[in-house]
Amino acid sequence: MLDAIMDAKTTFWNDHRLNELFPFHLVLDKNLKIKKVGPSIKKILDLNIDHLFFEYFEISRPNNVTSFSDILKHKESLFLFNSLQKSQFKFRGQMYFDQQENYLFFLGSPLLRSFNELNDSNITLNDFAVHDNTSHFLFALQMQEIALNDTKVLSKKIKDHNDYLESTNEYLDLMVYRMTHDLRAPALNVGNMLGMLKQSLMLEEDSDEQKIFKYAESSTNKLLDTITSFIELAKFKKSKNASPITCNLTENFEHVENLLNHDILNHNVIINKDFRKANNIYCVKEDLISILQNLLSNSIKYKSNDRILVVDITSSIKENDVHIKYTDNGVGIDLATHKNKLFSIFSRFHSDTKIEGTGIGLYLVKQLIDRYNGTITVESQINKGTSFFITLPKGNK
Amino acid sequence: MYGLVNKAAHKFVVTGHGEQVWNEIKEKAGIDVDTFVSMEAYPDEITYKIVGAASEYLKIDAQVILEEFGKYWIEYSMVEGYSHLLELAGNTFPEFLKNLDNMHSYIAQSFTELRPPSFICKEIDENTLILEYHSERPGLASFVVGLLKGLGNKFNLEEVSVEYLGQIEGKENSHEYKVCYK
Repeated sequence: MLDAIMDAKTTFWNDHRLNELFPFHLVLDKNLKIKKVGPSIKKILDLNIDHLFFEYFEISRPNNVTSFSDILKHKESLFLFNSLQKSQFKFRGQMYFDQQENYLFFLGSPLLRSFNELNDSNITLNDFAVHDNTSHFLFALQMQEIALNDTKVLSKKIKDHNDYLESTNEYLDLMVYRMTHDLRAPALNVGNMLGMLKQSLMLEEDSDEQKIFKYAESSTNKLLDTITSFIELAKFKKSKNASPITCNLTENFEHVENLLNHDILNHNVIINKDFRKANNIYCVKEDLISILQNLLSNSIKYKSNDRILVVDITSSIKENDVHIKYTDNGVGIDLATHKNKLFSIFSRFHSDTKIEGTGIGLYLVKQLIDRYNGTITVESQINKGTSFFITLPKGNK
Repeated sequence: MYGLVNKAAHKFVVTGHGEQVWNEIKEKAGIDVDTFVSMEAYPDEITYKIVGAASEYLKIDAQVILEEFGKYWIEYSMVEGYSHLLELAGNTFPEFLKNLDNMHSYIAQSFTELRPPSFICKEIDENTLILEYHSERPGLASFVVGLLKGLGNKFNLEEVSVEYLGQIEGKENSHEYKVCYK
């Protein structure tokens, strides 16, 4: 019908090109009567020629468009309208008035937000122009849905795995805790019994029996040390969820000195401390005590036999961190050999196996400092001593 | 290759032979991926290694595995959330094949690491068409044969026969097929 009206020689808008490039087009006259329907709209809606556009459609954007002249005023606007027959079908595009042909052309495509809107429509890719972005949009939408489903599946997998790990960890923590506490008491008893037995037997100093007792006592002490270390490790794992607070360095170091008072007195340890420049650290109190206790305990364990042990500990502030310098004049560490495993668990750096230790102290110190994104570095010289440089977050005054 | 291909390969093996066989094939292939993510790009090497290892382990020719995988790919796509896309691509077998190229192009627009193949489909008569397959990847010609047969099942065709006409002259990894269907 339009062939009679349109001169194919003079117009761009001959049938097959319009159908191919804009398969969802409409052609309207000045009275807004439908003169032609694109093949793809025809597939989804039942529209009669010479019926009014507004019999079948409602324009949602621009607002208040009810006539041909209204439409002309909005020739630069994006038009959105929906079908009154099937409300799920919405269209978007522009209204183009061809003055030569005296016809209004709707050129656009369906406004689709999901595949559901295509239900029962029989629409396929062929019904869209190749250049039409709607198809790409639908594919992108589907891919997004697939990616989202994948994410949900993976999240569940991760959660299930986490739940399993949490429950396994709880079980293991409980086992370690029970085992170490249940072993500690008997080991202590054995040590005490050995002491009492040795005293009651009144053995001679260099006798074989005396040597056997010394060996048995040493083994018992080693066992106790190992159990204590495992208890420390178990405590360390449990303390992970505690909240940090501002902790006073002076008070907590004094607490550590009290804990180690017996050893400090026995070995005449001289401790020089100065926290006047920085006295507050933001951390869990038990963590700070553990760090200081492990350092001091190690210094005492690895003191030189040739001199009195002297420990110096000072603090200062740089930006948001407290810098602690801890120095002793003990036997020192061969850093050339042991630097890489200094903070590894169960590592020992002294060949004198008579010195009791489980190799857990520095590992724990590092783990605790790491919790606060702090740092620890070491300088040491054999037979001169060791210095630790620690940074921890500054607490409030 | 995107993860969705390797996920399909996983399901393909598990459906036919069980999870344990899949784990053994993965180990044989030296693949250390626990779960493939559909929209993540993986090296092509992974997919080839899986096919190679599956062929060795199951003692089935790799080309046969690829063809069966191609068939399976259509079933898998219908079930794994791609059914809308497959429906949009066409209501008939020839319509679907004619849209295959654009379908891959639309997906490639969103996923820049995707390097999908191209297809040209020429209808000879109402039961015959010639399909050209152009890819950057070697060795997947049999997969296309399986894909065509799988599509035949999707459209409930009585019969789909695929004759491999050969490599397109002057183009590496480009192949031509004659497809007869009814």
